[in-house]
Amino acid sequence: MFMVKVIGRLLNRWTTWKILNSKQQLVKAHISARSRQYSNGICPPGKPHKRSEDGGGGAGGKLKWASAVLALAGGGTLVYAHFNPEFRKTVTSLVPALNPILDAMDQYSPSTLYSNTKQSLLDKFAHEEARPVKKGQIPEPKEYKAPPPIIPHLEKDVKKHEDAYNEIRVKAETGVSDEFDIAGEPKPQLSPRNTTALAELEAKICHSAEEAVNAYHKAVHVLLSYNQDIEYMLDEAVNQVEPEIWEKIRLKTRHKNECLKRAQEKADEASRDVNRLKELIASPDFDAPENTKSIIRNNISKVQDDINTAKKELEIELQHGSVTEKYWDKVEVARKNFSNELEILFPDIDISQKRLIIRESELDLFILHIYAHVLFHQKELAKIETVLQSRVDIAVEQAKKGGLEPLTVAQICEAVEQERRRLTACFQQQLLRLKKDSETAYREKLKRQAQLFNENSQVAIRAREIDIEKILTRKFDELLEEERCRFKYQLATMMGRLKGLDQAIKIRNDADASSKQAQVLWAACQSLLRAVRSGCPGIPWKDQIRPLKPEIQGVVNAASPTDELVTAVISGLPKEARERGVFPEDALRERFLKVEKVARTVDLVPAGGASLPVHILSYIQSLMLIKSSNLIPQAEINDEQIDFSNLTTHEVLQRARYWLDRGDFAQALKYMNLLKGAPRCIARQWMNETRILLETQQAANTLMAHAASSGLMYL
Amino acid sequence: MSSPVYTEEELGKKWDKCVSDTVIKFGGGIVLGSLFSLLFFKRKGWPILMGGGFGIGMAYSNCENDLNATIRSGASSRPISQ
Repeated sequence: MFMVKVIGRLLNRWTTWKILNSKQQLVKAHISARSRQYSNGICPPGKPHKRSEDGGGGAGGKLKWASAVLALAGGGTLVYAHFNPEFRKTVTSLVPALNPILDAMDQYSPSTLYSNTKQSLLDKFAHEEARPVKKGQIPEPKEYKAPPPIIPHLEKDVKKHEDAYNEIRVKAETGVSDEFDIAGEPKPQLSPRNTTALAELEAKICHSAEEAVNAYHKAVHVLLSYNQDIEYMLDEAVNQVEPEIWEKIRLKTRHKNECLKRAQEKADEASRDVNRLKELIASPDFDAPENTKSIIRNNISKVQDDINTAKKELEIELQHGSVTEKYWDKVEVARKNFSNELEILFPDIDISQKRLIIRESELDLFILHIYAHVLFHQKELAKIETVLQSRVDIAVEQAKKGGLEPLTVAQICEAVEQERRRLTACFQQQLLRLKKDSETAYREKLKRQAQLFNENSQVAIRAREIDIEKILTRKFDELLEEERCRFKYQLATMMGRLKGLDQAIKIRNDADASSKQAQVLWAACQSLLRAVRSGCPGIPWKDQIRPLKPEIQGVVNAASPTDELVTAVISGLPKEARERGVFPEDALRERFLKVEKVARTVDLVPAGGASLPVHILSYIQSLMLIKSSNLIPQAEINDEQIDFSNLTTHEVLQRARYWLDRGDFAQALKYMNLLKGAPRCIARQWMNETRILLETQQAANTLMAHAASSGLMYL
Repeated sequence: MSSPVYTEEELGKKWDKCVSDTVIKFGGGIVLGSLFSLLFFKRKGWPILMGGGFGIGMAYSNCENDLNATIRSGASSRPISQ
């Protein structure tokens, strides 16, 4: 029971797998057909499905059933071993030869197949067609040799061996092995005119066929090389692509186009010639043996086959290459669009330069633009990946369940998406173009306006410039005048100060000179005063008198001639003092002692003289008088009022002595002036000398004071 | 140039001069009186006294005049000039 269940389940799974396989094949076929349809018929038409041609036989029926049952049992065992590891171990231990079969089953399990199918579908949608990329060098095209013309051989044969067989060498398409076709029929006679024309035509056909086939081969070679480069571009990342490859591809494109054109021309020429030859042969005028004609026709068909084969090869390669061509076109268009966008973005930029120099301010815009593009493409890519994957998943699921409609719907949706993308790209391109146009127009207008504005502004600027210049000139003049006034004022101030300074310096100089002069005057006066006041000790008083002329002259010299005071004082000096000199104080003091004594002795004698006894009596009186210790009363010292007229000679002399002892010559002289009679006569000389001394001293003191005051003035 | 004359010193000199003059004149009068007495008056004594008296009288008069002259000169004296 358990075995029956297991077998039943296995059968169910096997049928499912088979259905899936058939469905997968169907899907594959359908997708390949679709892809062929989308790739504009690149792929050759699919091979017709092989139909089982095996017909059922009567005896074979049993055998068939037996083998079916065996196969079913074996298959069930294998499938169960595939799904149950324990059973697999048992089976492989019993029959080790089943191990590789089970491994192969693992590889082709429904889940693996499903994932493979899905991957292939995705690959197909993603790349449209996965073609094996030819790596390495493309083999050089082989040189094609057309079959040699037969007409010259015929002529020779006719001339040399009338009964010989025509030996026609027909070279194979590959040109490697030669075929020898020997016709044993005798050659009919040919007319020389026809023969010549035929020979020429045939040679021409040979030549053009060779050229056409070679050109086709070369075109195929170039096309392969071109496709290889494009595939290299496809495979490699954009940043790893060498920059030279773009130029190379461009050159190759041109070369490829030329080769194709040339091959087409040659092929046309060859076909024209072949047609002509055919006509010639078919014409009733052509008189030649049947054998020759058939050989010629054979040759012609060979040549035509070769050309057609080469052409077909080229077409196949062209179909294969159309994918790469499309990719290349798209790349070109994308590059062109990008260049256009860049030009719109940065009108100053030069795309053809190798180094793209973008200013710092433009770099932000550039990055923004590129970022927007990248975002857009990323978004589209993500959308395609997710939506497409989900759709494919759904479609596959639907397909699993049955019906190819969802796949078609998915394909239609994909086509719609593609169209939408194309339209979006187109819209964006148009938008950019419009933007560019409007930008250009806007720039043009802006330029014009800027020019106009510049002109207007230049006029305004000129007018304003003139105004400003006037204002500036006025302002400048005012400022200049102000500065000039200020400068003059400063100059005047400085001049005044300078003059004042000069004057002050002069005054100071004068003052210095005056000060110096005052000092000199003071020194001269000091010497005069010194000469007047003190005598020379150790010399008798009579000899101490000397002329004061040098001192006076010194004072006169020291004083300025314009000094009126000095002049007046000098002129006011007593004549005796200048010419004879004055007795110093010490001398006068010494003389006073003598004068006092003599005056006392003649106290009683009147001024006119007296008799001798009076003299004698006066002398005796003087001897008898006793000198008072108190020379002057206190009341007199206190400057009280007294009657000086009643003073006697002795009293007067005492008072004079008192003041003389204290150095007051003036007071002493005043008292001495009170003397009367003979004492006055005796004292007169002393009084005169004292007066001269006092006068001189007064003058010297005045000069000293003057000199001191002059010196003090400049301190 | 004569030495300067000082009034106070001159008076003392004059007194000295008076004394000497008196002595000379008195002596000269005695001598003369003696001579006259011997020659004319037979050695009388009075001629000698009278001669002495004349001599003294002359000296007295001279002395008085000198002294008064000094005092009077002092009254109008000028400063001493060298």
